[in-house]
Amino acid sequence: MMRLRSLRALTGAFVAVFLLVTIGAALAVHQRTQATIRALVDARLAAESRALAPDGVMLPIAVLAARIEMLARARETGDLGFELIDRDGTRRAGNVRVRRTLPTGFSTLGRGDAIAGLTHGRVLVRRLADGATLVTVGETEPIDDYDRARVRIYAIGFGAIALLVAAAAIVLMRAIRRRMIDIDDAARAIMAGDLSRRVPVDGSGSEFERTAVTINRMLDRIGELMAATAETSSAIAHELRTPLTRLRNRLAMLARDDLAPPAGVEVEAALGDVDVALGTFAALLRIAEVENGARRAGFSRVRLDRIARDAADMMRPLAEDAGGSLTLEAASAVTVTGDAQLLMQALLNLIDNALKYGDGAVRVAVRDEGAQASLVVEDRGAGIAPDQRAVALRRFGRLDQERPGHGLGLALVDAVARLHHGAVTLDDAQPGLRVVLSVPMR
Amino acid sequence: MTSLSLLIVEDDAVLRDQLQQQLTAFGHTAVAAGDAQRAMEAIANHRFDAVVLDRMLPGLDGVTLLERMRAADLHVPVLMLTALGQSSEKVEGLNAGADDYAVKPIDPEELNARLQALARARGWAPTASDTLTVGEFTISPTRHRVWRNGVSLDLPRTEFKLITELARHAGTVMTRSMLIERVWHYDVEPTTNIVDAYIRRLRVHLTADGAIDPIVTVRGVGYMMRDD
Repeated sequence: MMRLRSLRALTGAFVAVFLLVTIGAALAVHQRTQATIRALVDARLAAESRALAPDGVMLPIAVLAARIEMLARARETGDLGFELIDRDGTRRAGNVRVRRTLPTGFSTLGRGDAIAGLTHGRVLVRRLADGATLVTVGETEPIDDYDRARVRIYAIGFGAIALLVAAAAIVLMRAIRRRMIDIDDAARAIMAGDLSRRVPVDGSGSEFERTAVTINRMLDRIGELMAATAETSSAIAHELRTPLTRLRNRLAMLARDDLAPPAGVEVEAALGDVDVALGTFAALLRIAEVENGARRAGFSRVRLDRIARDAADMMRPLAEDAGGSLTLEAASAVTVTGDAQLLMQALLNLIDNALKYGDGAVRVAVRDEGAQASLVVEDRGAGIAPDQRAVALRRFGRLDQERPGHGLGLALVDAVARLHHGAVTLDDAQPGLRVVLSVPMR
Repeated sequence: MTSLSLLIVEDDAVLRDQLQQQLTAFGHTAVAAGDAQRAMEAIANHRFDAVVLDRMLPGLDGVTLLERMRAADLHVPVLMLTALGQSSEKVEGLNAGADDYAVKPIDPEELNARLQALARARGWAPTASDTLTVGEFTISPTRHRVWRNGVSLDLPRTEFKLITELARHAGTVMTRSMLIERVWHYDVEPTTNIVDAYIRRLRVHLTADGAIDPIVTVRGVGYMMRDD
């Protein structure tokens, strides 16, 4: 069975069924009317025939013939025809002549019967008591003309109803679709990070509006919960950063005093630990800031190729000092809408990872793929197994617990990509890891 | 290191006291103000070398106060402080006339280095000459040339920018983040020591013929070029 899932299919099916029912109803009404009219004509034929020759009364055929002659001349029966044939088959009177042999009772006449002045009609054939046959003919031609008019009336009447209902169905479908698109747009914007987005409310008090208001309240509630979570983590980070900064200052003062070992070594180590903690908080707060989407307000036209060149220039000495190399696949001007600082930070994080986990040879490329532009960083290290790639993008998703780092570098890259409505993908560079940060070109 | 006369504008009493203590520990005199009104009074009555201004203040906020100061022809150098995770406010602060911008809580060494650099920058007479002379070095930023005792040195682009920034603030410590901002013009948090790698390269060039290294490493803070 066909599934009527989409609004368009539902509307189409409704309109089709409605049209079928309307046509069926029009045909039935037409048939019924026609049958009724025929019954009326037949009733008249029977009444006239019996008035002429009542049942059970034996009239001499000559009297009957005289009556017919008289009636044929009368004005009010001008649309009726009579023919009287005696028991021997001799035509005795009449103003019409029926050529074919008709059965007793009612029959329909047409043009083929070649009765002068008659194209459509009904005929009643009665056997009279004396064995004579009385034929009464009635025209239905004016009724048939009326019938054509009736078809037109039905077509216009039922057609107008059908058109109106079909139009209403389409208008209704569009109205529902518009509301659903509003909700869909809002949901998409929210998924892209614009948490302040709401479904439009028109103040009509309609069911649609009630749904919109409910959805918006739900979003407000989710927003409150998220804000509370973000506030809590930011508050923790802030609260801990202040005493950590103070602790760091104290340790730095101690370190300056050139303490004798082992105190000096311990102070240095403690300083290093505090720096790791401070760095983690800074990175967490930075990701939180990117994720709230506020930086989209400052988006401008950004040359990705220049960012890649600057990042490669910046990081090359580190690669070379470690005995490796950093090559840049120079592209022509590639411009996207975005935040140059964040894209630079993301690329630096990727190059930094490639230098740390690769075998020293790092390749940076900028690609213009028409609909989107990509920053690509490849290393020739061990790579990341497909089932571990999602973990790598997660906050604190460290794959190698032995290595230093807070596991937030790729999470920030992912947040930066999403801020730009783009994505980060991890691939096998055969060998090594290929990270692609793609941003739509708009 | 120069002793500076500073004004701290911060509404949080605890943070205000901490900043005052930290800056006094570096040998500066620091006056504190809790709101914009008191800050304006202090600026009108005293000539400060620099102002540390919190962006969020009760009543009149830091950005508006700064705009009013600039409108009133008060050109004292201002370092604006903002809460972490609000870096989009940076542009707003700089547009309002801030000379530098930092995120709270700021490392005291970093704050001191930035304030020194601000006060030093105000001392320049930019029209006097295009060249900088520091100790044995003469640097022409417009001509991209460096001379040591009159002998031209051949430095790559980035190393040249690095020595120029260090020379401009000779005698003052430049932190790594200050150098990233001023040499590379990016506001990023380097995950690895990019600055250290470039300083190493610069030092190789400067000490190639056994000459004395003019750059001092200030542990845990940054680098400084000797101004003697």
